Amino acid sequence: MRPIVCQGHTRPLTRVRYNRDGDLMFSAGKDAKFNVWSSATGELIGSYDGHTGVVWDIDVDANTTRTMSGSADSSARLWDARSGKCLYTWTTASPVRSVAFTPEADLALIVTDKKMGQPCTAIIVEIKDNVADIPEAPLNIFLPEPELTPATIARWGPEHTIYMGHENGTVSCWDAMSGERIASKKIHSGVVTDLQFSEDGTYFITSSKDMSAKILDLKLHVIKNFQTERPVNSACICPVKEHVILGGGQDASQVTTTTAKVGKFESRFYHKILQQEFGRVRGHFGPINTVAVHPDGTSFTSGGEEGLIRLHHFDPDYFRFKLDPRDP
Amino acid sequence: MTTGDSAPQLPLPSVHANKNGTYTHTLYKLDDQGRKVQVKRILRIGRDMEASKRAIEERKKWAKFGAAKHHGPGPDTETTRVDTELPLRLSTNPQQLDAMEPAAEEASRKLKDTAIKCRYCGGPHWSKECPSKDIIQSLQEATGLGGPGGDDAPSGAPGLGAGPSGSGRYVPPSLRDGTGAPRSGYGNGRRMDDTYAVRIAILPEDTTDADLIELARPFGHVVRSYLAKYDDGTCKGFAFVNFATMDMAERAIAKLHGYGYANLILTCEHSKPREPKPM
Repeated sequence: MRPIVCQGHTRPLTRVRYNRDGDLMFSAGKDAKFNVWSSATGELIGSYDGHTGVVWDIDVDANTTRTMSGSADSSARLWDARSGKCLYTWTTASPVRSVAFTPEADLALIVTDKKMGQPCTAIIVEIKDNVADIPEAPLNIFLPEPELTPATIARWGPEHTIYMGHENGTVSCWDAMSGERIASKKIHSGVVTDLQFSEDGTYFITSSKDMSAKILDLKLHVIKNFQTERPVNSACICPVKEHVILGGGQDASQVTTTTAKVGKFESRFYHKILQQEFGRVRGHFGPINTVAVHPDGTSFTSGGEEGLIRLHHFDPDYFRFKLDPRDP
Repeated sequence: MTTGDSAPQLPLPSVHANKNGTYTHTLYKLDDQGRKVQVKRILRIGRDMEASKRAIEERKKWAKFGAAKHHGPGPDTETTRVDTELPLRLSTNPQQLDAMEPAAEEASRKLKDTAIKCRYCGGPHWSKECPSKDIIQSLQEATGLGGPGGDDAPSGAPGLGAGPSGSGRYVPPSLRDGTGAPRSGYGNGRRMDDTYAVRIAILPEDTTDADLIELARPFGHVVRSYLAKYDDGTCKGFAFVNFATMDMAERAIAKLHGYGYANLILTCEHSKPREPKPM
């Protein structure tokens, strides 16, 4: 396999994701840049310029007409996907950690960090086709309780519920319209670093600095556990094969005397049902901060602390590999 | 706002996968009078693959913007390069995955000690074996600029199109600036053993190198393209394109064989890579 290296960031990557059709890959980094690439060739298609601080989270709507980004410059922005023009800016009281469109892209979620004397806040805003129609006031604002510790990641669940991961390892579920907490549970023993839903939205995977990733159902029951010996920064669920991909790593523990030209940090493949690791691919020169898989399961992308994005198109071996003879 | 405990006020929403492929979303709300109400929605979750394909085709027409505004078609060497062959190590035994590493480390340690540095991309290999040499060379031919892509301290790389600033290297007349567009697309005269070649034929005679790359690009990374031409530049009717993976080549063949292009029906099949004849 010959990974394609995309060099579009001068500082660590914070998020990579594919659009729903899979032809585009979006990346955000601590250099305040938000880029879009062709997922087939790795060429840079454009950038959404305007943020002045770390871009922590990004999203693209289901039709790839608009994108959204949240930044440490205390703003969330709505962009025209095709031209890169900034259509709308929401100014918040503290850095934005998470942004997400609903599947219909009629609403968006903005979650801010506990900083500058401000509490961690979840803001629900409306999106309109004509940005002039976007109301100034958000639809709803609610504060996750302080004892849950600030939310590090938030994503839409089914029916306008929101699932969040928190700094102390808790995972919580909220009703977006009423702001009521539906449930919360201490899942991890360390910071929750990522939360990604399955394709059908019936379960999701969480990753944590506690060196594990777990699959939870909508009622926050832990269904699967993937154990590693390094902090996990991101995890995704493959849409076709029964696999999950984990990315992470810790700088200090992986330094050796041989400074290899091939990066030592690896993306790791686990069998989703059997919970066993079966594959690794190295290449990153720093811990992997974010992973995403193509909606057809034909490629995956990882973004690293060293500022590089590696786009991998799977070889036939990957599709033929069976961990268990009974695998399809 | 609830306080304290994590026991649910209302049952959590649930999603049930139905036998016919739909999903039933069940959620609970409190109505105006504070009564618990159950709401069910039945959804079919999936992607309209036809609409998806059309949308992808449309997006291929997007003009580059922002940081990519001045990039030409295809990957720009400053931002994109193909890395060396790196396996996705697969094993039914996790302990083996750990053990597979030392061999790769040995190899890279040897490279480090001899301090081999590629003139094009700065990687730890001989310049003539640079995996990105083709892309970088063709861009140098096209733009007349020198220097390896993406490297802080270029070690005096040649500009094959020798611009007026001059790099001090001799450039044969046939390769100098002003001989027109590159004779072929990426990658001339290099071993292509680990790429996957397809032969496209029944091309119209006004096909250009750029047309060929445009035709092939959607299927993946084009490592090399060669359009057979007569001396006056008219296309001979066939071309070779090398892709980075078999998968990309298969996709190209599946789509292009029998594809209607400028009133002709193309053929597209696997081929052994050939060295282009000197013009």
